[in-house]
Amino acid sequence: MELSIIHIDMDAFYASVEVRENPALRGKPVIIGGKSRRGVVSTASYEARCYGVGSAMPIAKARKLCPNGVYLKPRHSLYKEVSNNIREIFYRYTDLVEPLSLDEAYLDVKQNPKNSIRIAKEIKREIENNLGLTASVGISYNKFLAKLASDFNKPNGFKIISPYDFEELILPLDVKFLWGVGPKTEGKLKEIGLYKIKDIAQADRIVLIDKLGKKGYQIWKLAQGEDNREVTPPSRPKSIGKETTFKKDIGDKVLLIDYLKELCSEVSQRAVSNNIKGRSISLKLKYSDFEEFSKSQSCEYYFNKEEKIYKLALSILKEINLRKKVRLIGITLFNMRDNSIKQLCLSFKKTKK
Amino acid sequence: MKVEVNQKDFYQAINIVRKAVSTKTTLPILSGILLKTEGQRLRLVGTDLEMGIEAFVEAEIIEEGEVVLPAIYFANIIKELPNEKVDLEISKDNNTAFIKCGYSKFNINGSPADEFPSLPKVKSGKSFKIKEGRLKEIFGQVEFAISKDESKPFLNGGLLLFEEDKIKLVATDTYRLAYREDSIEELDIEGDAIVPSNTISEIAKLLNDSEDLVEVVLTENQILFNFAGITMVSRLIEGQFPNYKQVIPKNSKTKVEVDRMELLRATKRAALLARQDADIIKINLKEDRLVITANAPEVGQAYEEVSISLLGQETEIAFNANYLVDCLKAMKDETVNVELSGSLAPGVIKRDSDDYVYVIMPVRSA
Repeated sequence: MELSIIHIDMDAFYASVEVRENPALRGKPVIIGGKSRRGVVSTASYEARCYGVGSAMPIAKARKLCPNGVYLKPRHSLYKEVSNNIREIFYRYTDLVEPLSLDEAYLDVKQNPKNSIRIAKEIKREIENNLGLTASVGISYNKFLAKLASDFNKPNGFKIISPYDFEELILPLDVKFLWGVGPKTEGKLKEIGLYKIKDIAQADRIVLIDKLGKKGYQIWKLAQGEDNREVTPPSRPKSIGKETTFKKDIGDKVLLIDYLKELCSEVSQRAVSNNIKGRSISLKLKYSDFEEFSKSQSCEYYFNKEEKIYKLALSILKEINLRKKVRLIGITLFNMRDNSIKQLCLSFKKTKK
Repeated sequence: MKVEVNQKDFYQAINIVRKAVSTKTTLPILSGILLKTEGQRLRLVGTDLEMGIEAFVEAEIIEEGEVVLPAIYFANIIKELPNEKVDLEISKDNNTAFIKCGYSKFNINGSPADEFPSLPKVKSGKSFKIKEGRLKEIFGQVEFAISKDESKPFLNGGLLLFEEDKIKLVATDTYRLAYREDSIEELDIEGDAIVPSNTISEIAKLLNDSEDLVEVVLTENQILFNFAGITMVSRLIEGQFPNYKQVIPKNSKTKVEVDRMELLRATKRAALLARQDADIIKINLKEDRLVITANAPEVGQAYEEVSISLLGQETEIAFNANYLVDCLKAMKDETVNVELSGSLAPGVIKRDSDDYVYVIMPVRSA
């Protein structure tokens, strides 16, 4: 079994980027999150985590735990840019990169003749030297174990899990470390006396399937150290959509058209940045009574320009007879294809009359 | 009004006129079918104001009259009735229709006939006659190339041209163009007209593959077809159709003769793996064979080979498979000629007699 799967997880990514941008923040508890009353923490620096602040915690609660923290609004475009820099490093070693989010990715380096451990070390060093950020890296022979490995000694970790380590390192772990085991499944497993991964590995497969269905089989396989999921680079999105729920239900078409225009602009931008085009548009409305309506319209050619998306979406909206107020409007561009292919046109000369 | 009509004949006539009934309309009366007694027949009319169809059905007229009945309900009811005599009676006061057949009884609410727009009167126009089967073929071989892009209304129809004893039909969506001509003896019309897409496809469906004649009348802004007791009138599209002659290549660097059905089947099979890729197939022309490949990332590849005889340069080109299939399906010849001039120039499919020409633009992959 080759140790060709690498999992890379940036340490407190948003917070670390902010510290990098403003060195005065170094060593301080930095908390990134929505500033509104109902905002939650998206990332807390390790200093902040010492106060008990963690992801998804309401900001209000974080402020109580860590009143001296530096609270910042997230700057997504900045993180996205840094994330792209990180991915550029990955692509120097392999095309098989599967990003899970801006700060986390799986790599499969089996096609690179270099030793995977060396590759992982180089990547980690490059991220640190070139980008001034630290990552935790896990190396193993499948995705499940690679991810577990990167979690082993965070932050700034580096861990290899080979088939020889499996028994010693993995089997004694709590069942909740298995991929796909959330609090609910954890409860069910413990109910039938399975506490450690070892217990599951030794359990009867049939009993697990009986109790948990498909998931039972999956976690039994994982407990054997088997995970057949491949590292799959993201494929072309099947559709690009955007919807918005209004603060107050809307009964006025003119107002809906305003929102529609905004949505079309966003969908277009995403399609353009992905370098893909679509051939169909669907418009979705959710009425105040939650009844949903959707209708689509197709075109003969592929497009991603805002004007075209808007024109089609508008023609659908115009035909709708609004009987009720609307709480949500959304549009989706679908029937996608790569923009690198171009259907050529017959060249009719413009005949002036 | 009170009439007796055979169920099968009745449904057939309803099904013809309902093709012109508008499905989305702001005028509710247009979603209905007009029924009117005329001599020993019942006249049926459907129209969406762009197009109108009139048909007749033999009937036992017991009491004369007229009414408009909702097309969908009426058609579906008559469709499901047993093949027996249908009694239809309309109450004079409220236009309710009583339909009786065997043990089935329906009453549906109709509307007064005087609200129904009459079909446009065709003023004297120029006319000619052509066999049904021939007109059906002409329409069928061009229809699919008509553009659906509503921003270019002049492309939403086929250009019908009359020139020197020839009838010509052209359509294009700017990615491909279909051209068909046929000669008609003593053709006494000159000029051109853009016939709406819907009219062409509906008439193509209604025409039979027969030797019977269709009368076609053309006026300033209408076209009328008369055949088998059916009359169809349609408005014409205004505007300037592009100069199609300039996009039909006059010569080519590669000429190929290929069995039509073999090419059609190979294209359809290869296209099974081209769905993800916007239906794009690659065609490679070698001295003795035409190779079609398609690639579906993560699924697999297709490879098809068809034997050909080639004149000129070997070449390769990529097409949207649907464009190829549309044309090959509509043609009837055993072999077809494919003419190319490199991978970025328009490709041509035609038959020996040159009376059918289909131009397809290739796809360029960057």
